[in-house]
Amino acid sequence: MRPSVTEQLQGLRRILDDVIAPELTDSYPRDILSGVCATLESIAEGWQHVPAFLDWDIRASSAVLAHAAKAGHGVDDVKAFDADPYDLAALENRHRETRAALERVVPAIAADEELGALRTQLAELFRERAQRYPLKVAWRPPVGQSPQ
Amino acid sequence: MSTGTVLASELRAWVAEEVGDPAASIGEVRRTSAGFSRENWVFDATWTAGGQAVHQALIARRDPPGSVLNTDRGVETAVLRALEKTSVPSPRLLWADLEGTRLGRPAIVMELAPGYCDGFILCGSWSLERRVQMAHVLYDEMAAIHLLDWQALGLGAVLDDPGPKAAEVAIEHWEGELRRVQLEPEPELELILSWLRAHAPLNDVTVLVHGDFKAGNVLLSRDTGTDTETDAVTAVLDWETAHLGDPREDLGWVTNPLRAREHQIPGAWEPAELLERWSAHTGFEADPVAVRWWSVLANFKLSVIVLSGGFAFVEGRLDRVHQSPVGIFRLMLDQIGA
Repeated sequence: MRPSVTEQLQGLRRILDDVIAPELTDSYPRDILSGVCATLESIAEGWQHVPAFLDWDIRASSAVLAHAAKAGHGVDDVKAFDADPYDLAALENRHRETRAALERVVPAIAADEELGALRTQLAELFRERAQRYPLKVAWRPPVGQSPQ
Repeated sequence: MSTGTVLASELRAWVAEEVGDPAASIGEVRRTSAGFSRENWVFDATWTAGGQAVHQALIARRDPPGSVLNTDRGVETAVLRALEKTSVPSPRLLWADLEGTRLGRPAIVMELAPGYCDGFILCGSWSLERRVQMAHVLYDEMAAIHLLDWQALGLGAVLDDPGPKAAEVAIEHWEGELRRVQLEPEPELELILSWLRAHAPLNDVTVLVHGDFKAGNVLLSRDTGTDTETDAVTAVLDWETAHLGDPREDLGWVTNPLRAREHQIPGAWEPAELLERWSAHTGFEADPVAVRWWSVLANFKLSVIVLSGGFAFVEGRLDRVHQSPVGIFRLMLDQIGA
C-alpha cells in the first residue's frame, strides 16, 4: 500500500511547505499554515499508534474502575472489552464509555480519605496516559508578536 | 476578494461616520497572526478635521466565528475606558460596536499604540542585569494594576465583585466553560476540580485582575541600544479577560511553571523574587500556598482554553488544531502532589 498513509501525510506537509508557504506574504495565513504543517507531522508520526493507545487506555482505565468498584465506588456500565482492537469505531466508542465511567467515579475517589492507594493508581494511570498519548503537537503559548 | 478587502469598505464607512468626514480613506487592511481569541486587523486611516489632515494607525478587534476564549466585548470596552483615567498605559479605545452592525460581529477600533512586543524578552539576548531591570518594570506594572481603585473608576458597575470567594467563582466559571466545550470525558480534569474545590483560598482584598498578564501582552518603547537603560511600558494589552478578583490569580498565572520562559530568569528572577517585590510594591501578602492554588487554576484554565480550541475547530469555526492538553494535565498532577 504505497505511498503509505504516513508517506502521503509527509508528502502533503512537504507540498505545503515547499509550494504554498513561499507564496504567502501575510502573517496570518503563514502562521495558520505553519500550524497545519505541524499537525500533519504529528499525525504522520502518531496515527499508527492510535488503536494500540485506545486499547491500552481502555484496559488500564478498566483496571482502576474495577478497584474502585471493590472499594464501593462502582459504576454500572463497565463490561469486559473483547472487541476487535482493529475495529476503530468500536474501539473509539468503548474508549469514550470507559473514560466517561472514570470521569464519574473520580470525585468519589478524590473525596474518600481511605482510598490513598487508588488515588495513586489513578494518578499513575493519568501520567502514563500522557506519556503514551500518540498525537502531540508541542503546545505553543500565544507569543507576543502582536501590535496590540 | 479577500476578507481584508471586504472589511476595508466597511471599516472606511465606519471611520468616515465617526470622524464626520465622508472623504475619509483607509489604507490596506491586514490581519495580524497574533491573538488566539480575537481577529486583529491593522490599517491606516486619513481624514480631515478642522481643515487639518489627520493620519492615524488603527487596529480593529472583531469577535471571530470561533474562539478559544468566551469573553464579553462590553466588559473589555468598559475596562479600556476606565483605564484612560489611570496611570496604567493602555491602547486608547476610539469606537465600539457591541451589536456587530458595522463588521458583522462585535468589534472595537483602537489607536495602534506605539512600541514593540517581545513575549520572551526575559530570556532574550540582553545582559542579565538589563533583563532583571526589565522584569522589575513589567511586574511593577502588574502591581500598579492591582493597586487601581476600581470602585472609584466605576468598574463595580460593569464587573461582578466576587467578594472573598474569588477562588470559588473562578472554579465555577471555568468548570462551566469546560462543560460547554468538552468533546469527550476528561477524568483528569475531574480530579483537578476536586482538588481545587477542596483547597480554594479566600481572598482578603479584591482588585482588578488582568487575567493574562505577560510580556507578550505589553508594548515597550524602543530600546536605546545601551546595556544599562531599560525600556518603558507604552501599553498593556488584551484586557478581554480582566475582572475583579484575587490579586494572587495574576501571581499564579505569572509563576506558572509551564510559562517559566516567558516570566522568569533562572537564578535571578524566580517566583520568590517576584512575590517579594510584588508584596513590597502593593502591601498585599503573597501567600505562596494560595499562589500555588491559583497556579493550578491557571493550568486548569489553560486546559479549558485548549479544549475550547479543539471544540471550535471541530465545529469549523477556528483555523488552528488543538490536541488534548495531556502535558498540562501531567503538570497539574505534579502541582497537586498526586
